[in-house]
Amino acid sequence: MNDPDDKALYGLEDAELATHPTVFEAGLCADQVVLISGGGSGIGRAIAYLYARLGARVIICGRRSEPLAETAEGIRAACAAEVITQTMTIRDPDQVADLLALVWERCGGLDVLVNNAGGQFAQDSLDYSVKGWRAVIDTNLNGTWYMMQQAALRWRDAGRGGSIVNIVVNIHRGTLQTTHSAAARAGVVYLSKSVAVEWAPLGIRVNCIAPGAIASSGLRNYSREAAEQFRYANPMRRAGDVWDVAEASVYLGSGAADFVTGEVFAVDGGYQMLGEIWAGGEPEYFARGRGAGRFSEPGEE
Amino acid sequence: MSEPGTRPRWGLDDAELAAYPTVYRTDLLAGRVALISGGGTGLGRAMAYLFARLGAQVMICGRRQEKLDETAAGIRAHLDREIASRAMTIRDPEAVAALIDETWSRFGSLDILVNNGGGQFPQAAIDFSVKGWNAVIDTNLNGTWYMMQQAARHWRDAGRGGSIVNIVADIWRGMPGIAHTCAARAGVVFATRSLAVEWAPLEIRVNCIAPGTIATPGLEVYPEEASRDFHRANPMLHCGDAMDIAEAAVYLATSSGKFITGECLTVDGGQQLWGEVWPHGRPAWFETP
Repeated sequence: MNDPDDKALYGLEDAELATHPTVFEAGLCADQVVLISGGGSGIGRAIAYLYARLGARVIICGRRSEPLAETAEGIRAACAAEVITQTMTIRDPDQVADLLALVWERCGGLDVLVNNAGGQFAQDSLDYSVKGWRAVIDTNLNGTWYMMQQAALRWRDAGRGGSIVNIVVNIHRGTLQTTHSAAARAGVVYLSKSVAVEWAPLGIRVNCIAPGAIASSGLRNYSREAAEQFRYANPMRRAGDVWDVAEASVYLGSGAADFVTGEVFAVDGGYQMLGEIWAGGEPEYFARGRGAGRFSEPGEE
Repeated sequence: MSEPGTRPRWGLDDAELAAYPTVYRTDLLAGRVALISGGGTGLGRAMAYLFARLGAQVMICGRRQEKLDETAAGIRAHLDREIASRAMTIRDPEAVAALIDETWSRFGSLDILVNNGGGQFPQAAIDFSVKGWNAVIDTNLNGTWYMMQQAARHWRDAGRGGSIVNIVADIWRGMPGIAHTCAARAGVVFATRSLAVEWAPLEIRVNCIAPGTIATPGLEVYPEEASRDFHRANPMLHCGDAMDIAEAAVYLATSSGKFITGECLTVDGGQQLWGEVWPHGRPAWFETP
């Protein structure tokens, strides 16, 4: 991946994740156990690197074993930390229960759960199949819920608290051509707000991060033509990097945020105010509205 | 106000602020210049301590010189660091211009503006005087705006960007008993969202922090019987501390916040979702039968 355009699109390479400066004190997460779903690639991989570099015991899970192994190997090389990997799908409640059992057995507990796994495909909503709709809801909403509930059950039974960070997307103005994802992520946001209250007596904090356009390998799920437009979809007119989300995850999981719960933290370059992300490419209709507000001569279209 | 010593102490003292563990690396703000309004007391003092500890050059302002001096003396005593201060009111646009000028000429730049200066008094809205209403709007909304505009003009003229962090309040479900401040802070939140877009080409980031109930000496302005219940106003059933807000401000102001603008980070123990704050006391109407 040497093409500078590729880098702008697909983000930091592993060698950079290993050395990128961080605002946090070295050793901040020593003695912490952190479980990260979707830790094999993109934002999840960056979160795994940062936590491991800060001294945490990291467990990553995901559907495919090779990317998980790649992340673990890269982290071993970067900071001599051993990452535990588990190939599984969060869609299956039994596999989620097994994963949490494994974490408890291998690490003796859990401090932070980062629900980063998820995904969607770009398609006009009218064309969604029942199967496609259900797949997105199942992964992003149901899968996240199974993880949250299993972690909370174990925390309750152990008589201790913990912190959950859910990586969602910025849904406040809807999401275009990824309606299924908007519905699922909105579900996670309001689920988080509800259990932030319900689980406060258990000492469990629950927060979300809503990233805007982030340069990451996750953008490979979209056509290059569409993905190249994503970075202009905010007032900063650039994409964020995976580190922006990784540091936000550490912040919310840390003692600095021990008075933060039920919050959605937008890390989006201001996308919640301005900019459009057309996951499948901008329809001709909306091109007619582009540039509205430029002063034009009378009669000029 | 009751006799000193008859009420529980609210918040961290100076020695605790100086020693409180932080998540950030110790040189994070080295070479940075930060201006913090309301730096003489409470949250502003805590932020001055943390910013100084992380290596920043700090200027604080506030209305009372002796409070500013207290902060500066404490930072000197506990951290062996010098900070600058200027007594002024943010309500006066000319005083604001002079403050930003002084900061710039003294330190040669400005990187971070924290608008923490503000305040309110609890009262049933129906009894607000015009003067009382105007005072709260003037300090919290207009004063914050003067500071933002002056800083932004300096940044534009210097051809460089900067970062603004506005400390507002947990306005999301309204604030009965302090309706004036709710209006003023909501104004700041939405000015922030507008400016985040308008000033993005200038590379100026603008964000807010909405604290819930934070234990600081500032809580003493409320009647004791009201403040006794403040800690029950969120699902965590305890108050936050000033470092919760100071660390959030650092997060937004530095490289960790470089892709964050127009955002309001609520640091409130979940109060936006559950709990009631009645700074002027809870009317009988709302009692559960």
